[in-house]
Amino acid sequence: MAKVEVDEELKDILPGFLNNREKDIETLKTAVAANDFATLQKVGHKVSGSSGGYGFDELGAIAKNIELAARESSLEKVQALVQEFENYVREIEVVFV
Amino acid sequence: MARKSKVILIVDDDPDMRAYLNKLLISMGHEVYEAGNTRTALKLVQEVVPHLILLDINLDEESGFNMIGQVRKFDQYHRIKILMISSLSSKKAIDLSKKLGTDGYLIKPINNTTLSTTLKKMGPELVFPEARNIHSEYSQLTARFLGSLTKISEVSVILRSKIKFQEKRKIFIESPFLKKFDLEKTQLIIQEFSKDVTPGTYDTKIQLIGLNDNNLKNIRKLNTRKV
Repeated sequence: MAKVEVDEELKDILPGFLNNREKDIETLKTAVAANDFATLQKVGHKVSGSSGGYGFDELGAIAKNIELAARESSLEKVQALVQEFENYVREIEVVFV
Repeated sequence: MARKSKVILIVDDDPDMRAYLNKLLISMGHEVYEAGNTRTALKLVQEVVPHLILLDINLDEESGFNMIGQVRKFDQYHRIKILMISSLSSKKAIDLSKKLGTDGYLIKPINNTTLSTTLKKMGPELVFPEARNIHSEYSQLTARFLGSLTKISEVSVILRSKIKFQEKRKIFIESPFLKKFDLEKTQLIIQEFSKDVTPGTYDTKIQLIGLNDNNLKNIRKLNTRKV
């Protein structure tokens, strides 16, 4: 279980953020199936930029790795990372601080 | 003394990033606007004239760098400050940003402390010059600004804007509403000093002079006071 401490101040915008990550899982999987490295790179870049602010540093790191692996067109690496991304998002447990 | 609260425009294609920055900036007491692309951003720049733009480099299908020149065309004296925000930490991106005349560079992820320290440091720069006590005989000063007409009666209109008027001066309003009711040639004179509505927004009562019977009839026919 990924227990993450999130600033209480972000409580009302957090559901939107998590909901968008759920959508990202679908986008990433579709992109993997289609060898669409441009989309993988784009989603990875976007999530790596915003996650840290919300308190999800680990998710940001996974996303950054997706971006880098997609830039290298390394399907095997991307596949494993997308799986890691999905597992992480599905297991998030938020603690407001 | 300069107002502590600043008008800040966030330009980022990621709605989560905008929501996050918006939240932080509002909690610091700033007035915040958002744009997901440079087209909307440039429109907002002209409408709200922000003190600061937080500009993402990698926007959807475009680069944030592309709008800097257009902002400077509008803001020739470099009063609007631009902070680039990006996940790119390469020297190349930072150098280009400097070369294009931006005022700083923040690397994502951006946390509360980084943002508030940067804004505190920039504080003295985020000020627009003020025009005070200009003698009407010598003043050649004209200013254009945006506002909305919120009420009309047979003698006056209420103008809501970001400008606080403290002199009874003549004013010109370009408004499709006034045009529609044939009121655009009416003389308009500020009748009362502006009143605060919310911090930074003011209502100003403006007297309508020289209305003819037809104008008065048109105003009376209006069902609603909201214009």
